[in-house]
Amino acid sequence: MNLFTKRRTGIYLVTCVILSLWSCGEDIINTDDYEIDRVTANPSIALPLAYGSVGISDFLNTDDQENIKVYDDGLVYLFYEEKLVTRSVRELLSFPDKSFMKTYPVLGGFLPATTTENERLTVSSTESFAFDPEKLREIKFKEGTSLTFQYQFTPDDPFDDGDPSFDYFDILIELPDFTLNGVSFSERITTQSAPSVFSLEDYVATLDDNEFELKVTLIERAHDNFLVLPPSQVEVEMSFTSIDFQYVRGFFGDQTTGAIPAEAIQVTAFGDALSKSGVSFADPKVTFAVHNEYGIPTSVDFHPLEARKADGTSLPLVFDVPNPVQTSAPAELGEFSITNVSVVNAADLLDFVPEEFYYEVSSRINEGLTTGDNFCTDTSSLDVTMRVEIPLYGTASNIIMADTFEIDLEDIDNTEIETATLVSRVTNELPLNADLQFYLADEEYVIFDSLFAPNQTNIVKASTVTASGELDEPGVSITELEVSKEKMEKLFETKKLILKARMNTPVNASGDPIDVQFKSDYKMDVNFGIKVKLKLDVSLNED
Amino acid sequence: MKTKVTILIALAVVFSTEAIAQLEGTMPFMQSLPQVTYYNPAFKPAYKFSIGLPGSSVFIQVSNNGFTYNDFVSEKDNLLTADLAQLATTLRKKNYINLNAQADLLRFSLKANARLYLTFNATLKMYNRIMLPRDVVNFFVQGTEAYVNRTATLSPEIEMMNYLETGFGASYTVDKKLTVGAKLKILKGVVNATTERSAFNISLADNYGITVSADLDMRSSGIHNFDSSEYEIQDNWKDYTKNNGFAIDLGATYKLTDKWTVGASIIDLGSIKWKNDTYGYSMNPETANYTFEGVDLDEVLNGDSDYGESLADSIEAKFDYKEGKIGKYKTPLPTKVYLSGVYQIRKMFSAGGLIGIERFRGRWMPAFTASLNKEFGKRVGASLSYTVTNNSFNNLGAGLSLNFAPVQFYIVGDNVLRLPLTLASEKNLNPYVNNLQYFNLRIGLNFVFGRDKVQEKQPESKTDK
Repeated sequence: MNLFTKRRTGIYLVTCVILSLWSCGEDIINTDDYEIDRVTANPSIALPLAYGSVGISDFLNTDDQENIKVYDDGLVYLFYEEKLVTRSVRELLSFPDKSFMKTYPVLGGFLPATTTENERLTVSSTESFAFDPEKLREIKFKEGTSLTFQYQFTPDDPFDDGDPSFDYFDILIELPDFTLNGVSFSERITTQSAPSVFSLEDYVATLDDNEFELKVTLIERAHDNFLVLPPSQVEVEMSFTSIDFQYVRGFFGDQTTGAIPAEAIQVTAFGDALSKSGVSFADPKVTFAVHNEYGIPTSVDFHPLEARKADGTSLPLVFDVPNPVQTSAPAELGEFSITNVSVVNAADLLDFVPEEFYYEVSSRINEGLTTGDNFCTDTSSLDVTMRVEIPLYGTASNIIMADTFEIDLEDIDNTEIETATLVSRVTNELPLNADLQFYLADEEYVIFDSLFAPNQTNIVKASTVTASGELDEPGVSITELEVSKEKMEKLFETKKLILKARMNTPVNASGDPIDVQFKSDYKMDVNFGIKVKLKLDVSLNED
Repeated sequence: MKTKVTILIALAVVFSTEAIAQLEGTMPFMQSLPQVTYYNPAFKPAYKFSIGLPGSSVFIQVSNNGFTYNDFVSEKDNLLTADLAQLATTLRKKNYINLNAQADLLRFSLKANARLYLTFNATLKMYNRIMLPRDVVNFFVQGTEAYVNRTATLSPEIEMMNYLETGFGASYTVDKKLTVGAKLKILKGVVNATTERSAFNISLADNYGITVSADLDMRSSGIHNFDSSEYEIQDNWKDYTKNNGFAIDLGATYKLTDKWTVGASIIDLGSIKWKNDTYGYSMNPETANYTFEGVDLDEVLNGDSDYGESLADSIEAKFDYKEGKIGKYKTPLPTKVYLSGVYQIRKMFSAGGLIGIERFRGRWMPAFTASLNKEFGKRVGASLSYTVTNNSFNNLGAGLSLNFAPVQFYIVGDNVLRLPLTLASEKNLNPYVNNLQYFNLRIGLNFVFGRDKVQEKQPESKTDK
């Protein structure tokens, strides 16, 4: 092939290629090949749903969270403490106003002028408050307690016209048994025109079974000559009013407080869960503590005292001591004494699963006594506190917890879901088995199906326990719950999803329940995930 | 000899299945074209003097190493169906999609003397690469279950670099066997976007808990200004002259025997410092991580009504995305290494092999080409090539130069031979496009003067004398 021929061949080839491309024109690319009708994919989506580390406190009613306590060994217990309404013993010690009227003779005749004072008359007497049944030996008066004196000459002192310069007689009142900072009460009354009032605040009166000494002295002051018309006398009136005490000692008598209206303490632990379940606590404790600041032998009468349910059934509480309960009293003023009383049928009581404690309390002091050395202060109290201590140690069955969720899956094309699998991973240190079921309900809460088959619901395995009921090995359960297509379709029709958990403590080989302990560090670690296999077939044609 | 070639091909196949090359396989063998010096500065143009005016060499390259259209679109039940699951199985771990282009603004070459050739070129170059991890598709198409106890890497990486290259090169014939060459390139960056660091990883644990961690350091130059509607390029064009850079090309050829010539070169060894309108996008890897294990039952049991909102706030705070002006920064050029060998079968007819390796942003990207090259006298030069790259083995390339001095027309490309064949047989290019992973084409018109006959008769070295 010569050079010319080669060149011509090359030019020809290039020309052919260019003409071929050119001749195709707009059809060089067939765009129909790129108008995709549909897109398909089969993704399998795994997603986490929920996780958490749940302790026993999370299962208890929210209202009872503040009542959850932990013993030193970690055992969780519920502790309820309620101060019962009691009638105050102090109310028994109320002292009425007390007045004393004394008349003393004043010799008549001419009184020569004098430049000095003279005691014309001194009279001492023993007086008594005559409180009943109290026999006081000492009382320290409180603010507001007052002592009023008034005297009257008969006939009237002719010179006493209200002008002190003509008033020749004064009255000196002395109460040696009433002292303030070691100084006896002593007051000189200089006028008879108006009562003289003195505060007894902080005075301490030392009495002898309510009695005290009164000393009255008539004092003649310096004066000019004058005549006292016979017969003459002076009347002295002494009144204790608004008697109140900071403390009081003595014997307060055999008295009973009035009955108070019955009271009830609500118990909300576990909500409704326990009431419908078989729960048995192995070692519950119910105690009553009487806190007494009165130095008085006191008995407390609980009548009635019982646990009640809403259905009207009740169970009386039985003490380990006879009722009324004799309480101890403090030995010294300012001290207190506590008397503890246990309820012997506490286990029965908790098994009864009460909703409230119903009680009525009264008290009695110095029962059957005629003498004694009692004391109390104005702030003394006698309180009765009920304590319920429920160690979470025992057995439980059929504890049911439920919650309802609103769902609306109408907008989702459920035909795209081929399968769905709920995956749960639970490491459970709690000695609780749990069955879980989702109930599918309509708008009116009418259940029309459940999500899982009956053999699928046991997704939480209890831990194993030692002979003492403590954790041995955690229960580990990994469960994949496949939801059938039929169930899925019903799920998409669901308006209310009701989650119901049924929990039981484990049983032994014989099927008998084992007493188990719930400790604060026992946790149930849960992870819930879902695996959904989708079949996507998306049409890209608008038609 | 046969064994060596077999090993060479095998190695090339192994490398190229994992990689993508932004390299040209056929063009380096088109010895009659002055542009051949772009691949090895030691190559000597066939003409004593040539000049290229604007448009004298236009190059376009499209490639991806991940998939073809036919890999996931097919007709099923009379419907054109995109099967995304099929796409997911086709993708490679990292899928690089490139769109590169070059255009000579001015070029000339001059044989200064028997040993020395001088070259000059001013070329506008555009390099665009986006890396899409396979997991981006897998994660959504196959779903998350496939990633239990695994990590999905969803972070794309973007590289964009437009710059003007002004090159001054020389080829010096040391002796009959050895020729060396070098080119100094002065670079002016125009726009750039680069990914210094990018991570968006999603891991699924046994319990389906999802851990997300992120890291980002993206930078750009000369782009952000256009976000402002008031920005006018004609008023601010001088800003685009601030991005300076330098690069060099080094090369050598060695004539082993009368028939065997080998060559080696390193191209675009350099960098550009970007100063104009530098803007950054970042995320702190120390804080940008979060594990979602579902709804926290503790919060639900405790009745925290703000739980959802606080969860969203917490995630938003952790993945705090920052953007703003940054200082100057430097980016390397995609550096290429070519190792070539030519066997002169007969006069004007040779066979060649080429291994090209591109290194850019820590990634090595090799390609292998075998070619047959024929000079049909002085007027026509042609090459046929076969390139293994992009995990595809159907890349038949061709080159043709028509030398009607002083005019020289040429068209060269890899994976272009199927194009006219498909057109001829199918009457459209659809089958070609639908299987396309790799394509490049260089076309141009040179003015050439004085065929250098001495090319075939090299001067002797002083030692030869």
